[in-house]
Amino acid sequence: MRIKQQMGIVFNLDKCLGCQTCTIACKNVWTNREGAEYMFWNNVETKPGAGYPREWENQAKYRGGWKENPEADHPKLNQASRFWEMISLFYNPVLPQMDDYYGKGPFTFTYEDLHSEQPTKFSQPVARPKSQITGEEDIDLTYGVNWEDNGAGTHEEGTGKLDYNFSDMTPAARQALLKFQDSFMMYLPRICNHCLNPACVGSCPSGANYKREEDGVVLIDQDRCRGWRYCVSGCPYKKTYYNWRTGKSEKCILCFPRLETGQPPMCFQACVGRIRYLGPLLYDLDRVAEAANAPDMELVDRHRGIILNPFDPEIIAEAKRQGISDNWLDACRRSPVYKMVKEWEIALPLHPEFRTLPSLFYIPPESPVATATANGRGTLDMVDGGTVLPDLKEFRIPIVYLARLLAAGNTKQVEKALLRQLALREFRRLERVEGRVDESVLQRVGLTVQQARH
Amino acid sequence: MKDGNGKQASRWFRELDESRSWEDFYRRRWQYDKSVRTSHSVNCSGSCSWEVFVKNGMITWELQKTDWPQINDHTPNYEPRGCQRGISSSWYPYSPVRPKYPYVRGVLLDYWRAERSAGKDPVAAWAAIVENPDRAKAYRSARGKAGWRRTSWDEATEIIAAAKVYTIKEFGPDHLASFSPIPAMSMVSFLSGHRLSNLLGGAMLSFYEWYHDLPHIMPMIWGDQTDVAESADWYQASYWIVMGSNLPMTRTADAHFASEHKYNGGKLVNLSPDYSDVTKFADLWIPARPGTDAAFILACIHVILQEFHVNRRSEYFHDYVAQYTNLPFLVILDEEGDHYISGRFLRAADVAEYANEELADWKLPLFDRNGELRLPGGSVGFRWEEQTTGRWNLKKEDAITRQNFEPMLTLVDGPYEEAIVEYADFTDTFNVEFGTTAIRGEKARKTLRGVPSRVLTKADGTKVRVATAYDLLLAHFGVNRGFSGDGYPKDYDDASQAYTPAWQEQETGVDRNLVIRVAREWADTAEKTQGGCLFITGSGILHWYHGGSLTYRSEAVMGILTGCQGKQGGGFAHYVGTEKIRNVAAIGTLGNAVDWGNVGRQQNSTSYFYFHTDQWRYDGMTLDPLWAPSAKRMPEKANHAADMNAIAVRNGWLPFFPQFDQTNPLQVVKDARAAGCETIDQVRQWIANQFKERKLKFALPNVDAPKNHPKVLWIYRGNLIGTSMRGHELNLKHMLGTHNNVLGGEGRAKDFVHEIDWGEDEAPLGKLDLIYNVNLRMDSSANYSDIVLPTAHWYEKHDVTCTDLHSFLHPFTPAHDPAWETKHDWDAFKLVAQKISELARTHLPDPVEDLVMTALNTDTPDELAQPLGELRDWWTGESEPVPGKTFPNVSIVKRDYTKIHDMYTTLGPAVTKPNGYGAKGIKGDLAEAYEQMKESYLIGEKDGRPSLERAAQVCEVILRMSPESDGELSYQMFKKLEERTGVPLSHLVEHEREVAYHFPDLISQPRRSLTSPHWSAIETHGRTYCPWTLNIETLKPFHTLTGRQEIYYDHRMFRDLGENFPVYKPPVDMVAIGDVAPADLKMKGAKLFRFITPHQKWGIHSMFGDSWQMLNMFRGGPTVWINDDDARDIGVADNDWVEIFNENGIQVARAVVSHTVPRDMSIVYHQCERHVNVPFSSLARERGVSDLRGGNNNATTRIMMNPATMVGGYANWTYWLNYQGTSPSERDCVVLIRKKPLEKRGRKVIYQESQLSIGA
Repeated sequence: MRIKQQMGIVFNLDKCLGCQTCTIACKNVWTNREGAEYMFWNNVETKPGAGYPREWENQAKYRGGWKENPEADHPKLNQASRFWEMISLFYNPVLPQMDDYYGKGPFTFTYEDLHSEQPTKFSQPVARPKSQITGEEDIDLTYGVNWEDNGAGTHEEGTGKLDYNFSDMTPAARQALLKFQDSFMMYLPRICNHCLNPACVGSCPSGANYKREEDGVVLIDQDRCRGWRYCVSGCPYKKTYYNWRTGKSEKCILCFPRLETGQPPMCFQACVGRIRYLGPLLYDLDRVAEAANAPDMELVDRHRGIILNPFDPEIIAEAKRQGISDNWLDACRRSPVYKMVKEWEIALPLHPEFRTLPSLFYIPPESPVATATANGRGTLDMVDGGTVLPDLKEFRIPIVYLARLLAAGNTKQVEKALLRQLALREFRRLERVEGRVDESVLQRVGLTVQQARH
Repeated sequence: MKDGNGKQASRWFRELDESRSWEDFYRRRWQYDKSVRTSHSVNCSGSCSWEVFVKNGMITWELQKTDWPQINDHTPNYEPRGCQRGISSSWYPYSPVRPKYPYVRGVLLDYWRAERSAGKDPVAAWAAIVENPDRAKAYRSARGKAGWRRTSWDEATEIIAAAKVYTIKEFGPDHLASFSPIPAMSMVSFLSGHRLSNLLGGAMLSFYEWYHDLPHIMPMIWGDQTDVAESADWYQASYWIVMGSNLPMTRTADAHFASEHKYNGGKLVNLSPDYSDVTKFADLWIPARPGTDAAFILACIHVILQEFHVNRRSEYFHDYVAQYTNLPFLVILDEEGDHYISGRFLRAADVAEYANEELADWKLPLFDRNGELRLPGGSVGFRWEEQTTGRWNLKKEDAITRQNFEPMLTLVDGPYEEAIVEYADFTDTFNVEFGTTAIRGEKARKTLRGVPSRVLTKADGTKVRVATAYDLLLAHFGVNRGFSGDGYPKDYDDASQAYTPAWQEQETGVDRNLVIRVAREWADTAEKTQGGCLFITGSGILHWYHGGSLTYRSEAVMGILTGCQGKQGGGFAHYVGTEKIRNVAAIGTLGNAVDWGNVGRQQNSTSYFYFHTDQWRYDGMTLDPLWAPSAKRMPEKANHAADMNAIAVRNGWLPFFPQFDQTNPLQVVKDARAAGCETIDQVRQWIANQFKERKLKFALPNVDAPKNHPKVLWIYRGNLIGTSMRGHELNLKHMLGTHNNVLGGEGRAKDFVHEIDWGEDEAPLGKLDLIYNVNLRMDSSANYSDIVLPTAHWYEKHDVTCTDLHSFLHPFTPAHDPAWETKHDWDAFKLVAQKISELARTHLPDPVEDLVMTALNTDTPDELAQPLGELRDWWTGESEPVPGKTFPNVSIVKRDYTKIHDMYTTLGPAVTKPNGYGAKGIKGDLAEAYEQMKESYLIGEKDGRPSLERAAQVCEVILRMSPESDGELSYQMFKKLEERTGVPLSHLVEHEREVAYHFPDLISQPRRSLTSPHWSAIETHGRTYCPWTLNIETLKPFHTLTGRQEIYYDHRMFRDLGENFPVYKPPVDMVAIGDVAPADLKMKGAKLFRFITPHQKWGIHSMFGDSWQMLNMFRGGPTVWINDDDARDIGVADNDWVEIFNENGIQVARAVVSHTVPRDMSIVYHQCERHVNVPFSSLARERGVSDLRGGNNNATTRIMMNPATMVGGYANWTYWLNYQGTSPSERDCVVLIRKKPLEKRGRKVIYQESQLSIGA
């Protein structure tokens, strides 16, 4: 057992506002430079939608991440062999193009027109759109980092059908969900997952990508990077970006200069929805490859399995032996991420089938009940007869959709996470409105009163 | 692979002995030199605490501060408070959109310099420009068309001062006007231009109801402008209904409580026509048809009354309603043929027992539970008694005998007779399917319902039939108690009568079972938690024609009937605009220059712009569909909004400036003096006579006469021209006199308006002599101004901010000095004041007397001006004109224009007089504080007075003048108030007497406001701010007619409108009243849409919307959201350019096609400014209008004024700036949308005039 330290992350999607404050916090500090305009180390997408870059989840298109490799004890890179990598060094055919990110590039406007000494004749002057990359003026704007905000253009005839997470559904089911009556919407904030089995590291021909020993942060060494961009194609989340000015690739650094000075990353501190949790984890490096090679339905549990219990005396002893400090161990025991991922099992990794073993986990969101359902059932005896809170089966966001997104199709994992949220709410409602403590509500989903009050 | 064998280091890791020194690359980027605590001055209700980082002397980025004090142990706190917009602010200080120097438009500057270099004095130079019609037209029609010249502060302020002095001399100070919104967002900056305006005698334009942010029901029900819960109080609630408030989008920093309250056991129901952001957080989403929300809520009330008030009498609800509302009071039933209509409240003056009471018309009796008549304290008559009797309270006590009693709510509990009462049903006045209503709407129909009543003998011996307002309300809602009358519905499924669940289904499209479900859940929760149910509501509801008066009222009444108001975590919470100036007394005093004895010319902006932009001529709506069938009195007075406004002005209900028809108010006093008037009473009498004899007239009926035009308008801290100007294109045409894309003629109102002179000629084109703007962006207001003065960015200022959404005070502190030639607003207007004082030495050397006419004012004895809520119009001989009673207030203000600068920069001594200081009629004085301020090292002395020289000094003065930041001041004012109320109050702040927040305290950490006599919440000891808790718990009355929450309104206007009850009126069908041309309705490829303009995600109004960050967060410019099926019908694909238009103007935007939007509704999130990415309109060229560019989202809207918001002179229905008055109601708007034709050579759009194929 080789015990490694990892800064773990949980994003609670139920709380996400889709406001992009995180996006801009990050942008202002790290990527408002020439060459980095289109980089969004942090972005937030509206689901359903094709995302940023367009269709990033579709590995048939981009060939990122890893494939299950039943013949071996570890998965293999989806973008094929090291040999393939070498022969296509100078032309990588699966790279996203600027059009997939941003049309003609991030845009600015000719603000100077507004201050002009020259008077106009028929109309007020306007700042006209202009490409920040080419300088071309009066351009059409056709895509961007949040083009599909709040379901913009994601109806069935639009980009909605490109959403990979509908792949477990029939086209008819998808079509219904992309109409007003049955519509749903959620946000997906994304940063680098600082994976335990990072495909960007696995695919870098220069050895520039690495994980930091002390916190598991994945970095691209700007001195060593040669700009081959295999990390760009290798990362199934498209969270590395090529800087066209410096000729190097860059990615989210989890604000390590802030971590090192005891501050959370910018996007965490700025998160207005208060959805972001940061906490240390311990994991067994020796079991990473094997966990990443598990069958789809087992991926979530196997991933959880390699996260070590910091309360276990044997783990503590072994960790100390391997040089892990008491402070880190203590922090692991207080880690909210450990509780949500491992103890309560309410947080799930994004697309575990990409097999990179992300260090970022998501709590699946609740959603309003489908109104058609609510109309049809006996709604007239809701009060005093039972709960006024929604039922899992009534949620507008289909469980299969969330399961494709967060559990490699394993609906049980999503159901458990949502049921536990609902149970907590019901427990508190009974306590506050009806004035009684009803532990049975919690017991049904395997929680205790102590956990509910945490 | 190497990993997994356990023998060597993984290839994933770089071991510690390998060099990682390159990592410093990113460490260096993070490093900075210093940081400051500051905030943003935008109308977002944020008031966030931000840390701004400075590196190499430059502002680099910002991040939320996370050192907020926790309110209590069990409530989540406010940090990190700030949003995507706030965090992109650091783009602005060095942005290309920022004006860095003073600018004057070339056309004007050339004239000016020519006149000045010819040796003319500045005032003479200005006269030579504006008095020359060609020159006046030339520079006015150049507005909005760039052509800027950089100039100096000296030259720019000289032009401004000259224009003002010229205007004061020629036309009067009432022809000046200042516009700047939202004091709370940056108090000192706000004060600057208004203080100057008030010292000059200019009109101070309102913003709150002009922005349509005023919840009209707040003054009407609770007698205060607005008071709402801070968002931490939401967490205490157990059931939320969110309506028309898109929390994550507009209350971004507060929205975390939505999910957190759910984890605390709450439930969230959302009414929204589209799948809005907040729907994501909802347990139940109710997509009601736009504008029909009131029908849903009123049906909820129907269910709640039936099940929780009648079938089972909830003790909690019943007791609450009996003590804290006007429902137990007695309404006189007036005979109407063979049945009755509900009239005014019975008064003490009506009955022999109480007729001798002082102010007996303003005290209201009721029955106790034994059926005996009682006179409780607390009504407005007890408030304004000459001698303090300590009976202004809500005790259940007879004010005469001081015996305790229980009010009788329903006469069913005693002997009664049934009376048949007529009710108004407005369901069919307009069709909710817009475009299908018969011409101009149908009249309301009547229904008859039996009500329990009793007959009393009046003091004069006559008999009168009365019913409790509660019984009348139950009948109004169609709650069946077995009474006769064919108007009662049979059951919930009876759709023939309002307000059943089945009835609402026709209007809202929402299943009746959902109504029943929500009603039961709400009431059940409210009963069990004693009021823990919450409405969070906002502009999505408010901005409709009936939004603030009726839809809001339905929510409030549902909250009141279930005992949720004044209860922690409960009640009606409206969030539109940063309305709450916690330091309200300080801001009112300094802003209105009350410290110098000024009487402010307070102007409600909606009326001002409705008339001065000539929108009244385009208003084709008659009031016919609004009147109750029994209405006779008000319809006979006026049947158009313009006429009603004119009546409101002459009867003192609403103000209007300029005041006099073609007469300078300085001249009026001279004339009065010449006629021998010495005392103010003699002047008042003389004025009244002059009006009676028609020798003096109001300017309003002749509003388009050149001498009645506003002459100088200044705008700062707000984008009046771009953002809030409904009827934007009409404003460009008539007030500014420049290019516009108005499509429809101006004759729409001609047949309906009788009080305003239509005139022989064309409506004026260009009224303002000078419009100038202090701004940090070249937005529309800057673009269309003649002069732009560059202001400091918020990160370069000292200031103070607060909000309603949390209870803390925050500072602004500068990260560096104002860059380039920018100045703090305080310093900018100080310079103007200095220039004016200099010019005055020549032009206005001696003190003058200014005759100021103001509307009757709320929270003063003016509330008693017009008894029984009857209009007695002196103009038509129904009464005598008596200033302050039947006629506006008349005051004389002495002005010494040579001293304007001295007065601006020091705190005047009037605040030291007894009762010389306060707000909302709750007064004290600053005699002691005044001396302390002079000695304070944070303020200091100037000319023997506290200094207001620098912004930082003003910050400290504000804190010293505010009970919210000075515990001793609060204590003293509560002590004084106790005398009037006769209930203990000062104990609330006794323990805070030592607390005094100084400006440096705020800079070190946010400070929480103290419990204040000017507000209604007890926020002591870790209580989250929840309004009316002070009234409910201490029994201090609401500032209303009955002192209780007003559910039944008995003023004549409301009775005639059928709005004495919370009623449903459908949205106005604007096709029916002529806003869409009949010919255009047939246009191929065009479709009618409801036009909705909610607050946006990528800006706060227009602010931030032009920054790199926000433009790149979505689609880089104006968009319109439409449903995918609708889009297919008109051949539009996502991201296609479309034209949105009606008679009022044209907008060009790109379509966002989405299935999250319902059919027939288009959403243009406001504010999409016109200065970024707006191309030319094809339609504008087809129609040959003078402006070829697409307009903004106000191009198709226009001001629509609701007569229900014009009432004045009657208890809490009495005017004050931002308290009462009309709102523009842009949301009933209907537009056509078509795909924009391609330009030549297949280009989608063109932006540049050089590429236009027409014209020069």
